[in-house]
Amino acid sequence: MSNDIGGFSKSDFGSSTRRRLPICFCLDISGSMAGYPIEQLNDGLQSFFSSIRENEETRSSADIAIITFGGSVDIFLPFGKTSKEQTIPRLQATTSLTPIGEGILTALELLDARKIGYKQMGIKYYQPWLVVITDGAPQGANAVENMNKAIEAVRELEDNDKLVVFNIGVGNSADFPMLQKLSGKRDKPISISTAQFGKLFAFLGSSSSSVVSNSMGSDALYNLNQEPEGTSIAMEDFFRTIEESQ
Amino acid sequence: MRPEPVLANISLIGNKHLNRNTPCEDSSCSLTRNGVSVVCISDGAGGSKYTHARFGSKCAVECVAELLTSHFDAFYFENRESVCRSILVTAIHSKMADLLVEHELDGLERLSCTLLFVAVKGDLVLAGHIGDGLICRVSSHGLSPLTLPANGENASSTYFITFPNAQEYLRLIKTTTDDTHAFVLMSDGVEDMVYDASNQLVRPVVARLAELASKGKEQAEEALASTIKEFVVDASQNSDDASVGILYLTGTEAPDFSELSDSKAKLERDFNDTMRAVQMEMIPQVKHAQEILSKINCQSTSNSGTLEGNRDDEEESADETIHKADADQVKTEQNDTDSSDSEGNGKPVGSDSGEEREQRRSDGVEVQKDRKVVPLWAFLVMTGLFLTALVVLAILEL
Repeated sequence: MSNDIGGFSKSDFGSSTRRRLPICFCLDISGSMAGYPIEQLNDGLQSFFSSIRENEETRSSADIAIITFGGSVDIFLPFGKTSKEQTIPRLQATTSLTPIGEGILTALELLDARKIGYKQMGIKYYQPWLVVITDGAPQGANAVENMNKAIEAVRELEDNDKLVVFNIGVGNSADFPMLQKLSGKRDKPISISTAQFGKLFAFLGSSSSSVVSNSMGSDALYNLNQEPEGTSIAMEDFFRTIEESQ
Repeated sequence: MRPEPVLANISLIGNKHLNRNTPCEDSSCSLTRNGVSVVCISDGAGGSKYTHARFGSKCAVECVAELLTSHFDAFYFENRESVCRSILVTAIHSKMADLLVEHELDGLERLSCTLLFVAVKGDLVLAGHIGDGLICRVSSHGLSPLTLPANGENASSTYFITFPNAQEYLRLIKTTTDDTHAFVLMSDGVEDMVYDASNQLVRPVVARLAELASKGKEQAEEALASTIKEFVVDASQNSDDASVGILYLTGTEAPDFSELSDSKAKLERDFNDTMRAVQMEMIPQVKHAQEILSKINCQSTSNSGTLEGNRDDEEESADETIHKADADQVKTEQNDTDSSDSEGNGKPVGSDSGEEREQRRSDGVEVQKDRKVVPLWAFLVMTGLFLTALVVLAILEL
């Protein structure tokens, strides 16, 4: 029988598993992105990753995957925690079409598998992010049909607070009406010029840091002005119960 | 008469708040009064919307301690679980309403916080929990979770006592002390370090923390605070506030700490087996049942005239209530199906579901009473109705 409490040590306690923030980028590398735009996108991504790496909080929380679409849909970077040494290879633009819908559907599958993985490991996570960046419109076989499927799936997740959507259009020829449909919470898609990639990724970096360090709510990512809840159903029921029991 | 339990509670500010010079949002309190011992802790919500969470958490723990030391029996012996939960939430919301005036706030949500409590009167135990955090039971032979952390789909979301429909997420447990040695309550900051959600394992250290209370309240709180500060709060520069409450039953046998297991097999969970899936599977069965019951109900109304001469008032009322109970059962299932969408995402459910529930509850009580008085009558009437129905059907067929 050992009823002696003894001293406490670090090994008595587990390590607090950091809550993860899964971020899935869905990036357009179709023909129109070739040249200056893809270089800007690359620079933005590089600085985003270095800002994630520099911050201890985001480094241990952010769980990032990159999916590219341009002709085919590819998993450019599978999910995984960012390490201090990790470098991200630069994206190459293709010379082909823009299968946005297929890209988004792949991203959702990837996110879903990741969430099940978290649950199996007992890891808590923040609302996942889907960051879609395109400078064009859906192209390719069944492009519109797949895009509509993707929109429906994204909206259902977003409506149920299971996904934060960043729908970002680059330049003037991006299909803004299509991007608009991707989110019911954002008033209009985020519109940037190719020169603003740096700014965009800085914003994404600081937002991710706000989420993991300050538990900033996902609503703030949409800049929604939410009035606080102030009603009490329990209180309303209270008098009814009394009346009925008389 | 057993000796009074030793109560200990601490709330420590996390480094996240310390480094930013913001206040601790957790609260905790313990109180022994009228032969009732209560320990409560509450984790104030951290988001920017929840500006006054620290006042909310303080209000919630004090309100519950006060209420349960005054009215333990009323809550413990009330059979309508939903009434217990609603009254508790109402009491807290009512106290919080004063805070809204005092701090000029625009809604209860500003005060958002979780709530965990354990109250003991003699051998009786009443525990409650809404949101994340963990309540553990240390017995003479082991250590187990009593209530589990409830998180929404995302880690950042949980359920708060300030929700308009908080009573739907508040879990109440009524049990007895028996071989319990101590209860340990902890906020999610501590829970993260001692509880593994993948296999629902509580680390043995929790039992040893509880044992600190064997030295009495003051020493216990001092030792608890320094231990939690060193190993939990200071484990990260961004740590959350940390609260622990202990209710230690003096004179009971402590477990053998070396025997407590620190490993457990991973849980095998089927992620497709959701309540939604259960409901979908049940739809044909419930629709079928609805048809049966509505047919019976229709027949009973159309035939009630012919039978009237044979019955007095008492029979009729018994008959009616029984049918009402059947109909209510259907209603219950329907209602649950309807509310399934709100499951898990922490969204308040509309007030009409509360209304229906209220209705059901009061009906249920009536039925029980009447059934006890005239079970035979009810049976005869039902049989009569059934036979009449057969005759009517036969006539219609011809």
